[in-house]
Amino acid sequence: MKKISLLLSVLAGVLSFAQTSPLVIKNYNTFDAVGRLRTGMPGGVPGPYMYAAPNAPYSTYTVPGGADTIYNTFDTSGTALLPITIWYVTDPTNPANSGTYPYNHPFITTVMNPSNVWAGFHFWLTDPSTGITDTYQLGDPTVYPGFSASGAGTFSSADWFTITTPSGPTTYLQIY
Amino acid sequence: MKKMLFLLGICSVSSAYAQGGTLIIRNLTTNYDFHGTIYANNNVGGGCYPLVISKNPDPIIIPAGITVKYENYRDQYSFSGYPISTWDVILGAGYPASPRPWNHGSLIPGGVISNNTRWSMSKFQMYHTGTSVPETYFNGNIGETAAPCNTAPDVITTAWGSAKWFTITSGTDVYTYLIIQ
Repeated sequence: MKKISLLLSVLAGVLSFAQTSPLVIKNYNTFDAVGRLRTGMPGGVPGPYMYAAPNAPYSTYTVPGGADTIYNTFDTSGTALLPITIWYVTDPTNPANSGTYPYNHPFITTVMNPSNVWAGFHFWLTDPSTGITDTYQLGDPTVYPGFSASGAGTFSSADWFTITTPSGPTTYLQIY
Repeated sequence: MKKMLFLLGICSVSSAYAQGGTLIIRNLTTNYDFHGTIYANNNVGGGCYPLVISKNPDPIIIPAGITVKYENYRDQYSFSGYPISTWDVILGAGYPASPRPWNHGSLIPGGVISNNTRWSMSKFQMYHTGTSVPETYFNGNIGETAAPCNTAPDVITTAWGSAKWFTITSGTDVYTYLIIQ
């Protein structure tokens, strides 16, 4: 058990420095997951963070029911199945950086790629027949304390977790 | 850079495996029932999570002379004859155990958890058949010694019987055996 905890703390150390590992999103539910997808600084250190702009044709960032997508890095997000073509950057430590950037802008590549990790998704699913909404703030609480790793609503549930494979860590957001 | 990522993507797909295949527990004893719990987890890339543990029934009881096959987290419920109705899922270090029914969306064959975990260990205690009387010294933790996240041995030998954990690979199918005799 001690060995395992040692291994895990070593692993946690490695993970906290692994930047822009892929994010895989899979929505097994039939309803759309709508909300704000966020990145952040590992460990919640002060620095820039950003939100995904709406993916066309939606007016808010949306993972449609049954859809899945993979984002390998922030600066390739515009080529994904659910494209994020624009990032809204906020930088409290250097407000001059705050603003709207195309995904393949050099700022995303040189500043956001090496510094940020996937933080979480604040989203909701609504059953139009009943009007019931399940709301989640899923993500990594070490990046942003408002996030939690798993949640369950009235007609859905969701997980945010990272799996380590020989080719590196991959973060999964799964909605059931 | 893109090519590299593409390559990594392919590698991660090809290194994924389907839950280490089927777990077969054979209780070859004539006078002892197996009372135990089974574990599966990620054992590659330095990660030990997710961790999946049988929760209900606790323990799983396999009578003397019976062989049980657990194909995967979901289908075992209908086909094993000794169904596990609830699994505890621990997604990462510091995550709480999340009890999930056998047909929960996160446990489907081909899903992320199924593809990234394999059978790794069992904790068991043998009981005099049909009774609640344990054979005090016929028990243990047994598992896959090649798996870096498992510290249990793959052989347990006692004066009352022995147990052995091993895998057989046939093509792309992996069969994990726990034999008690």
